Amino acid sequence: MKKVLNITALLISMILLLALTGCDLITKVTREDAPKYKEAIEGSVPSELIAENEKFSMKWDYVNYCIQLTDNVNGKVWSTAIPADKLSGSAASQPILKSDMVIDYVAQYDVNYQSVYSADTTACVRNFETIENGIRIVYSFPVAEISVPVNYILCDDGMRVTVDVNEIAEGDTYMLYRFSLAPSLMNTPNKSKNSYFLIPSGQGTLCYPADGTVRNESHKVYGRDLAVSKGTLHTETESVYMPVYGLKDGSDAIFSIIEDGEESTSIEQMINDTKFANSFSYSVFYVRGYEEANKKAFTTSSIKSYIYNDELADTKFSLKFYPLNGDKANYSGMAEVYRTYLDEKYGESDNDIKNSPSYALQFLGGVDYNQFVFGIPYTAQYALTTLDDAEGIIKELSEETGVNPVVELTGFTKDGLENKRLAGDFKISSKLGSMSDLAELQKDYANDGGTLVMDFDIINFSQSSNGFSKLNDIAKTTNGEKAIQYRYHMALRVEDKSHKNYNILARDRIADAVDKLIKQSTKYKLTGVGLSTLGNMVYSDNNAREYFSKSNMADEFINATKKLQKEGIVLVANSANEYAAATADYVLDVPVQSTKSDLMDDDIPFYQMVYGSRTPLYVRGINVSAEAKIAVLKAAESGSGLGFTLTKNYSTELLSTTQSVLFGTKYDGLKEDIVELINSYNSLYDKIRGKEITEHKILKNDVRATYFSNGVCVYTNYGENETTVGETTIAPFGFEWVEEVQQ
Amino acid sequence: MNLKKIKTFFCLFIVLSLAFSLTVGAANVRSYEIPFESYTYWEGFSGNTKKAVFSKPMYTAERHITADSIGVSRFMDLRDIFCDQKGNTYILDSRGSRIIVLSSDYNFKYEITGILSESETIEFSGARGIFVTDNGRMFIADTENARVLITDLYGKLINTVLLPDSPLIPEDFLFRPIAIAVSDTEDLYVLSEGSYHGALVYNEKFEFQGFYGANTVKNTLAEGIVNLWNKLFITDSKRDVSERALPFQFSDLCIDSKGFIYTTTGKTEAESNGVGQIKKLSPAGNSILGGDDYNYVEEAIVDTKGDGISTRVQDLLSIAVDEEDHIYALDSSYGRVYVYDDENRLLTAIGGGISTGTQVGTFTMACAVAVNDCDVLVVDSINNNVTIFRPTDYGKMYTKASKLTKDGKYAEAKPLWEKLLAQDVNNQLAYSGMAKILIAEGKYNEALDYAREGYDREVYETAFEQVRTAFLNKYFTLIFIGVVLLVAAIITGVIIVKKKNIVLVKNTQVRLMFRTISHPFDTFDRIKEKQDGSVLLCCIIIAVYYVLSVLKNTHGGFLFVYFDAANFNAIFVLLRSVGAVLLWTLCNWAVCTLMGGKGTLRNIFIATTYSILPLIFSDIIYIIASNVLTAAEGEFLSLFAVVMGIITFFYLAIGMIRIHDYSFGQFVATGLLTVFGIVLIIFFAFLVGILLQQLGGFLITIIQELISVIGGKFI
Repeated sequence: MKKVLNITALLISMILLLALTGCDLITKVTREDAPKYKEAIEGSVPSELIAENEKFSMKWDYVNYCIQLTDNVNGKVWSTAIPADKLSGSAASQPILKSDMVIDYVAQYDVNYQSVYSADTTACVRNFETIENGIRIVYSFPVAEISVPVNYILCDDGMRVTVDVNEIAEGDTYMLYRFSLAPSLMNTPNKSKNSYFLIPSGQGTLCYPADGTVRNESHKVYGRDLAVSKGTLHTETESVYMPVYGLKDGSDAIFSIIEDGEESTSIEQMINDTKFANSFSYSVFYVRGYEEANKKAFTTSSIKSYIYNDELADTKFSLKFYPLNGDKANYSGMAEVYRTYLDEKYGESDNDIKNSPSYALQFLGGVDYNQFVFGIPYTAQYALTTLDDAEGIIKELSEETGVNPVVELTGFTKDGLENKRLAGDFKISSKLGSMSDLAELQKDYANDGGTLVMDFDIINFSQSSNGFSKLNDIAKTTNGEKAIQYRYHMALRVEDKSHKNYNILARDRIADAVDKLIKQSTKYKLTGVGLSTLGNMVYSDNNAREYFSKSNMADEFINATKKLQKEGIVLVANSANEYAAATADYVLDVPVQSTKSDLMDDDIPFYQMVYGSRTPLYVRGINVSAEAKIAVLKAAESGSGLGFTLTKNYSTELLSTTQSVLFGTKYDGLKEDIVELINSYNSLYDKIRGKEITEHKILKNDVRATYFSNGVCVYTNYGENETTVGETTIAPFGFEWVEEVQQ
Repeated sequence: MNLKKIKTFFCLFIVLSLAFSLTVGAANVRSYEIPFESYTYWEGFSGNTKKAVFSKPMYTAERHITADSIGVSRFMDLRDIFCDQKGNTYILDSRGSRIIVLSSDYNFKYEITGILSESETIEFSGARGIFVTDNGRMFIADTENARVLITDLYGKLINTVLLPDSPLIPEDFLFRPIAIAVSDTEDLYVLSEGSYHGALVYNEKFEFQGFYGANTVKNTLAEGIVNLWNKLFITDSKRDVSERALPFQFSDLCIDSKGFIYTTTGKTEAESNGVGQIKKLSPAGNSILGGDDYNYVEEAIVDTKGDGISTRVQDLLSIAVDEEDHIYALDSSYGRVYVYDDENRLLTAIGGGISTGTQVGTFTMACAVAVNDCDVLVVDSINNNVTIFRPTDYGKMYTKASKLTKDGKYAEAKPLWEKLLAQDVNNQLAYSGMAKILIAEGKYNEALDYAREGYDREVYETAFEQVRTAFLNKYFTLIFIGVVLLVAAIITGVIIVKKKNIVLVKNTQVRLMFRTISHPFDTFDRIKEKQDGSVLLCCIIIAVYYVLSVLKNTHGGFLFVYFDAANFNAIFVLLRSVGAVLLWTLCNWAVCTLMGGKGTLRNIFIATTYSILPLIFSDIIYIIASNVLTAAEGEFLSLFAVVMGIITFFYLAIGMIRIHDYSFGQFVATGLLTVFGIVLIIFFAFLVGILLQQLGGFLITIIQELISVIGGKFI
């Protein structure tokens, strides 16, 4: 017995020792082949003319140390830095305007970064190398011991600027945090008339510098990094779904697409800041992620610091500028460029867009609530909508409207709308139906020409299941901790501790989750799935360089799409980012407004102008919108289908749920209004279904005109008064369409 | 450990796991149109507190009014706003010393850049308040210059009101007018910054009449005693340096169409929201809204205190009232306008930004609110703009339904309430509205359903009374005959039992237990001397007591029980009921063993358990009666419970005296020591619980570390 005790004690001691020393075993993501910074001396430019084609010529400006892209059609010069002779007063001393490259660098734990500008000849050394159709410039910053090689390449339709992050060299002291390329290329003098910036917030919006209001904002492409903790929930209602931005300046325009590395980018606008005398928009590339860490010293007060990724993200940045002129120099022209780009990048769409139904239904399945056995509480699932309920509603609406809607079943998996097991264990909740019933319903509905999919959340979870562990398969922050997601209190907008936190799946397990989903789909012969969260959530993971700073998240979705489509499974995305909107078969919950910040003057349906002719789009639940009549107008203006979020059942026992829209989803009371609305909208949708939006105009404050490729023009009136456009009278909060309209 | 024990532990583990299980957060499907969550508070749902629930937006953030949008030079420092009966809006640019006048559709009409007196142009830089009367007079609270300027609508000076020379004005009074209201009878109410005396009132001739409607200091009993002590015994020098509790000053005031003054008090407490921030004052200056103990802003701030969550103390800075007597109170901390109806019920909360707002509908420093017809206008003094919130169709429908119901036009109101409920099943007021209409239509059963669904106990009681009356009317004859027969049967039964000496309860132990009620001394003597009494029976009594305690919470009448589904846990009831009996038994045995008591553990347990029979009887009566009585009739239930409690104590005292062979004095002494022992045990139980929790956390951390290390993952 004594021996056993001794052995046990020894074992426990060893385990404890191992566990405690485990803290020192923190693995660092390192790379052996990381380029080391070397001292450099200023090089010389091989020739003034770098490259030339029919439309453009690219030259080196010896005076201003920047590249000039000249539009051969009208002679307009777009310069990567504003020439010194165009800057006066306080603007002349602003280095960002005169620089074609800006880097921000830090030392580990720094809270504030330091900036170096290429215009500062004492701090920046350039070396040049001729490459095909362009030039490679290596920017070396001795003060930070960082060098960044940048390729400027002339293309048929503009100029591409690329940086391979793996070629960036760093010294031992500082780390590159982020950089900007040609930050002032897209500029116009403050208070410019007949100018606007295109901002891709939500469906897209315009910012007019003419009014002189000072507005500086920054918007992360595809939204915030979920792996970075966030204390207070702020008020951004819409994300940036498209990695683009643009400027119309008089009769010219320039449009920019972030082709690679867009997930790690933010788009900045500096409007009417007097010290710059210019308004400009540019992108910033984040090559490292960070997490706030509060270190406790010997006192009770803590010291705020940031922990950055040890290495640079394994990614590439590519930014392309498209100068536009003539009748293309507007946001309609920009949309056309973007459409062409998407066709090249993702291939032409083979979606059956010409037969897309005029509306989509999103059914909510189950939600947790407290029940009691002898007064002892336990968590049970409340069936908001069962499969049978959904089938009944679909049948009823199909009969009354003559249209088989696109149907998405959300929260139908085992855990309903709760984030417990990953994808709700990839099975339907037994309270709501069975997998075989689902497959049968899908099959029957497909035979009737309809599409029905069940949504799977393969990002958020809080319990281990199905091979996905809560301990090991969670995305990590840069300080090695698990990235935690909170519920936010609806009023206080801080963490709601009455609801359990949850986590996000490690990036390297997303592919496994997709495989598991495909396996389940094949097993149960599912014909369609929804990937709502994968299509609109982006995050970092400290597990590998390729996941730093949110990078390469688009690839995760594209790979999933390819696998699913190979199996013939229809894919539905929600509030989709570019990669999802361009590759999914249907997109629901499409944005119909911007985040409406001070920067945003006029919302435009840019999202629909771009994706509308590729993928059938449906607006968010009209029945849960603040103002249904406005939501319908937004759908009409953007040529989108209608969307409804429905449940069959509801009880005030669910008041404690975190779901924010259940107040307005109960079908029974809404049915008549929904049928009436769909039937009135069908006549318009029949005219514009799958047609490209060729142009969009803001006619008056409240009146918009959307021109479709078949000559149909839809007028929407957001005003409280009747209005007339030509011979067409539009009722207050109404829409009208005219065929064969000359634009 | 045998199988039985393992089973017991397993069951306990399962029960505890279930008991402490929590709902995991849900994937959120949400509305995106407004930059703030639309929510309201339900009353009477979760316990007796307010519960925040998502609701359909009643307002949308329409747009900003900026200097650029109306074509005037840059705003310097917007501080106040007023909307007159004609729909004109007056915006006070404090630092710019100007007033911008907008038409009813918010187009620029004209601006006043200085007040024209006979000889000069007067500036009012630093002014904080503005008011315009229906007869075309404008009142400007010129704060920095300690005066109220009275002008015509174009800024021509009519009069100036200064600090009056009155014995009512304290010597150290600083006149800094910040808000103004003028009644139809032309009484002028002026709020002065820093004054805790209430508003200064002037008559139509601008003669000072006195102070009006000050807040009062609320004292606890202990504070009252301290104050009295200080008054009686403290020296003058000490009094001079001591701190005096002063009432909180009003932050704003406004007047409704009936002449009632409404006030807001900003921060009423240093670290929490406090209560009674909004007041409606009678002509005598008394609060008549009934919300003196009501927290008008976020209940959740109170709930989350101590959770390490960073919340802000809210600050109601401005108030407005519309034609329907809806109150609009602006909190600058969260940038939110709380809309209350005339019965103190929150309709919705609009706005947001938490001092960092850059979107339409969010604020950096919201400082004033006004109502223009249906629109709610909010001034942001840092962003220097005015946000227009416009009611949605849903919001308008609510106002209409509410008004029709108030006017007794039920037939017109009913379809609106139905539609409101179809669009928002979380609209508590719609349930009440429907219930009221159904009562008016005589459909009491349906009304009961709506009132219950909407947790409106007042309306439920009205409907319940009617349903019960109808039931009694319908079945009175049957009930009467039934009662008569029952009474007759009981009397007959008793006579037969007495005459024939029939023993109804044959089990002597059960008989003894019931004998406790009529012959407690004798029963407890038998327990002590003859070792009568059954432990098994005691266990059954305790089990019944526990079940009834749970049922009292879960199945008590709706009018009496505020069942908190979110927080209720029968485990706590178990601890309160069974735990109390067991702890008393244990501690009393321990104490009395030392104090010469003769009772054994068994006897103490039996005596204690038999003593709680009145409580069981009380619970049964409560459960039945609370389901058939109205709240007003149910007053006696509380009294009955108290009486039963006293009887229980009485039985317990007799039991302990008899079992231990104590005098009453000894019983009191040992009883107190027993209670002290119970407190000690609870304290140690908590201590051990916390230690175990920490140990558990430590072990979990080690396990996680091990898994990470063994799994080759870095942490």
